[in-house]
Amino acid sequence: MRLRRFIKMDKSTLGTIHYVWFAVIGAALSVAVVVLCIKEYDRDWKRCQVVVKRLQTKAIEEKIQTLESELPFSQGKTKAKNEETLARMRMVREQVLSMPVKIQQIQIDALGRVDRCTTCHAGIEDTNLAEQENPYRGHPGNYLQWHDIGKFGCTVCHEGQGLSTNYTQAAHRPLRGLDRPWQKAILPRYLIQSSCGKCHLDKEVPFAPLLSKGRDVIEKAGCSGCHKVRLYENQEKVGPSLDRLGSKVNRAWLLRWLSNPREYDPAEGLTRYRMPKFNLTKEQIVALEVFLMADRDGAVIQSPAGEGDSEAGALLFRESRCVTCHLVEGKGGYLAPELSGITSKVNKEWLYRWMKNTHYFQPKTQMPQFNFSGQQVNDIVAYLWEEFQGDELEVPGEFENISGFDKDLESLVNQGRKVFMESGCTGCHTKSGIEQGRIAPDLTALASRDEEGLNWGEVQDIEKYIGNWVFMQLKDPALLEKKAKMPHFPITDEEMAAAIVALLSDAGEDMPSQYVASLPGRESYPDLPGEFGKIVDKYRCRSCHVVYGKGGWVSMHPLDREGSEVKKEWLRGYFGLPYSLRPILKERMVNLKMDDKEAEFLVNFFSTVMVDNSIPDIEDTFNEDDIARGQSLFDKNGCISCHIMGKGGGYVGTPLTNVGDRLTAGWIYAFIKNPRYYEPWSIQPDYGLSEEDARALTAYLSSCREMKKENRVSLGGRINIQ
Amino acid sequence: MIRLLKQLVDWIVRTQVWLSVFRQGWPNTERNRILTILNTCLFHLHPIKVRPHALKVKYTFCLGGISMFLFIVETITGVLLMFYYRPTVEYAYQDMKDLEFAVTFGLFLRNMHRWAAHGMVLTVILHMCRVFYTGSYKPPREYNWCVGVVLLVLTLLLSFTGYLLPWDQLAFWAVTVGTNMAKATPVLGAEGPFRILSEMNDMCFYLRGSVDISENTLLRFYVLHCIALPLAAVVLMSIHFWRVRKDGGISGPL
Ligand code: HEM
Ligand code: HEM
Repeated sequence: MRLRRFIKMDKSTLGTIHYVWFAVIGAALSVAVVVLCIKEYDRDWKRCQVVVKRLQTKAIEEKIQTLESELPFSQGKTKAKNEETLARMRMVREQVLSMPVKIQQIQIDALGRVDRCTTCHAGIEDTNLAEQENPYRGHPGNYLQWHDIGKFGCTVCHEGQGLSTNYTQAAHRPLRGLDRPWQKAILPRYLIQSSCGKCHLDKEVPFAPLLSKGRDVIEKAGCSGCHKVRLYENQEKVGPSLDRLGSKVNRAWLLRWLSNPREYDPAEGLTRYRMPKFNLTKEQIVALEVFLMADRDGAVIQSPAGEGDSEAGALLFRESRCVTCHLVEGKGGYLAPELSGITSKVNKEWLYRWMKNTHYFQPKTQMPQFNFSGQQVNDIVAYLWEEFQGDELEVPGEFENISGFDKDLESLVNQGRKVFMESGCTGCHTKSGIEQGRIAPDLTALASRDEEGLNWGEVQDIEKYIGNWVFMQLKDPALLEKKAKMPHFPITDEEMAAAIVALLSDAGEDMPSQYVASLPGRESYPDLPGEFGKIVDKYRCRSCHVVYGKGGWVSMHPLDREGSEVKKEWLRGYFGLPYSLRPILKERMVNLKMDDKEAEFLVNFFSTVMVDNSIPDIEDTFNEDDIARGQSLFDKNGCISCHIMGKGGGYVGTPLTNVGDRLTAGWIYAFIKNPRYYEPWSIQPDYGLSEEDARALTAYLSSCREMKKENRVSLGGRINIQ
Repeated sequence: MIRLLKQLVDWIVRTQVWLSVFRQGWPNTERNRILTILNTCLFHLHPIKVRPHALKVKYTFCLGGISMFLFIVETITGVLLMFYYRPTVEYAYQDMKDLEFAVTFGLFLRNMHRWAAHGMVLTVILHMCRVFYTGSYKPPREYNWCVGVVLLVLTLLLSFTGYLLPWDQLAFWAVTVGTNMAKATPVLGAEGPFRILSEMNDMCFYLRGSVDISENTLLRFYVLHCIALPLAAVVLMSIHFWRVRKDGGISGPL
């Protein structure tokens, strides 16, 4: 108001007006500079650090107070200990109070990362703050104890923009769309385990159940047959060889199987039949069937000599523990196919040859070559035929018209071969004379795939990130692309999610070797040499056990240091008549009926070669004092809640009643002292035992034996079968 | 007292330092004023005389002057940014984040550089419009119009090359798209009409220094942005201003 009047009054004096403008602009600029300085000084993270400091001191002070109030009541040793703790806590308090407010950063050259997350999350390492809200919170769980924050930082696991010190810029929320300035936002909780998989390359990753499950799914589904998948580049094809299929199955079964594998097992999930359903026309199915059935083996056609005795067969069937791997009416093991109804699928002559010469038909099968005589095989086949009789299958009506095909056999076979290759059957099945590479896109470095380039087809209303895209590929690929070749797998949504977590652990980064976590002390030895290799191959030990870095995890117990772990005499007996070590497990060691020479060879090989030098040699003689002390420790630590000892105990751990017969003292000692080192997946708690305590416990456990020394010579008949 | 001051001033103006800087007397005569302009490097770019109509804000809106001012701002902030910025794939993005979050006034510096750059592009274009609407492109000023056109191109190139330097997703894809255009150039682009060159030696390749955007592109753009283009702009601006003077100062009203 005044200004305007002023200007009006002095209209003539142009200069004055200019001065006014000059003053106004000058003042505005000064204000701007002041505002700038205030903004520069006042940062959100400073407030975070102040709050964290207050929370930390509060937590410590509370502890100090309780300790101080208890101090007058304590005496002797406890008093000294309490005083020491108190002094330490006061020191910590001083440290916390004297911490300057400043930008915190963790620089990790090996990973090429600089993380400033702790600038706001200043209390992340403080376990006292585990209950607070973010960003003041301490990290939940023990993850920071396992992964020193100075060595790992934050963004290796959580991703996001570690250099930033404000909420949005740190990419706490993923921004999608064209003007997204960063590629990696902070991972949501359901994907976080994918980061574990960057360094943890084993299939089982402790404390990352989703990742472990996902890896299991990838392995079982055999994704790597058609796609390149990190860690699975060299995986064997998951399906059986289709050579000589014509002499194994009958035509009706095959047609039904090809049109819908689910028909034989409607259950979802990758538990039993894993063959996906392909998008094939009736004509293609018939062509495939003709192509596959055309491959026959003359030897199979001859029927075996002699008649089988089904009762003897039944006995053999039970003795050999076939149901450890095979399903029978939906029960039993999950490694091998259902046996009930087997007659409607396979040819009797083929079955005989198969039992006799398993690895001739399927060089890669997980089934051992049993040492059955011709008569024994006859017996078993007779038993199977009697016990597991199925209905005779008919060719489904829809194929009747087509099967009359006017084409000649050869062109049908050629057409079938083409379908076989184009559909990617080769991804899972071998067939002599047909070789082709992976037919589907590379899935390595999936997590750093450019999301803008993904084709979403008809899919809408879904967050457009790479994980969801993979999900859609598994759920219904036709929605993404009309002519999708990806078959439909019998997998549940949970399995899909887990597989995605596992796939996204590959961002194409190569972790530096010091970060890579693989199980300790296990060299990978894919092809075992010599006599040992032959036996392992014959009995397919690796179907269930890891032997030198390779094998299945049906047994959670790699055999590589078995010689240091178990006693020779026990092993000899176990090969003769294996029993279940852990009663709650349904998987049991099969009875291989090894011949004596092989068993003796294995026992010697185990005890001389498959040993681990870090397991000490401890003489089996202990004095009574140690044993007694060990027993009291055993009671005190509550071992009995998981392990059976004598009459009672828990079922989670292995029974320890006669553990002294089985395990060497050295192994007992080494394992209880450092369980996580030897078996990181083991749920055995690490009690942090002192050397003396571990020795005493070892003494006690070694003394838990069924037999007295005198009659421990022959073990042939003593094994207790559970 | 006043006499003393006068004596002091008299002494100062007779020192060699003063005389070598100001080679003529006080600009209180017509002759001395002209000499002042002629003898001073910066002033000699400026017209000897400015006519009253040219002083009217509404005639030029000082758009050329503002462009010049913004260029100076760019140079100062740009040099300061160069203290912190390393043009390598490893560090470029990290250094930007350092500037934003760890360097005192770093964010301000960056924003200043960025906004002044946008501003400069705008004012240069508006300046061009002004020149057009006042008909100042006509002879004898047609030469300066052409210099101006090159200056516009330089401004746009500065903006474009600077855009890659933060090395974030935005920068990367913007420059990918921008340089892809060169691929479609007729004859000289690998995907343009009448193409004769391959992907390994077309215009796009020379812009990027590789087939895709890479460390080479970053270095290339950095050198262009911080050395080659600013130098060229300074030289051309000098010519531009000098030409304004030689063409008889700011053009008259229509
Ligand atoms: C001598 C003059 C200049 C120097 C030394 C210089 C230097 C730099 C440097 C070191 C950067 C990287 C830092 C950053 O990205 O923020 C940069 C960025 C940039 N410069 Fe310049 N510059 C100069 C002039 C200009 C001019 C004249 C323009 C535009 C007309 C310009 C436009 C840009 C742009 C758009 C960016 C990207 C800014 C951002 O994303 O924050 N620069 N300049
Ligand atoms: C970096 C860019 C440029 C700068 C710093 C610049 C600066 C200047 C300045 C300070 C003047 C004096 C008059 C005024 O302020 O308007 C001027 C005049 C002139 N500019 Fe520019 N200019 C630039 C770009 C251009 C462009 C893009 C054109 C035309 C395409 C142009 C054409 C002219 C002409 C013809 C004049 C003479 C105008 C007259 O006599 O009325 N300039 N320039």
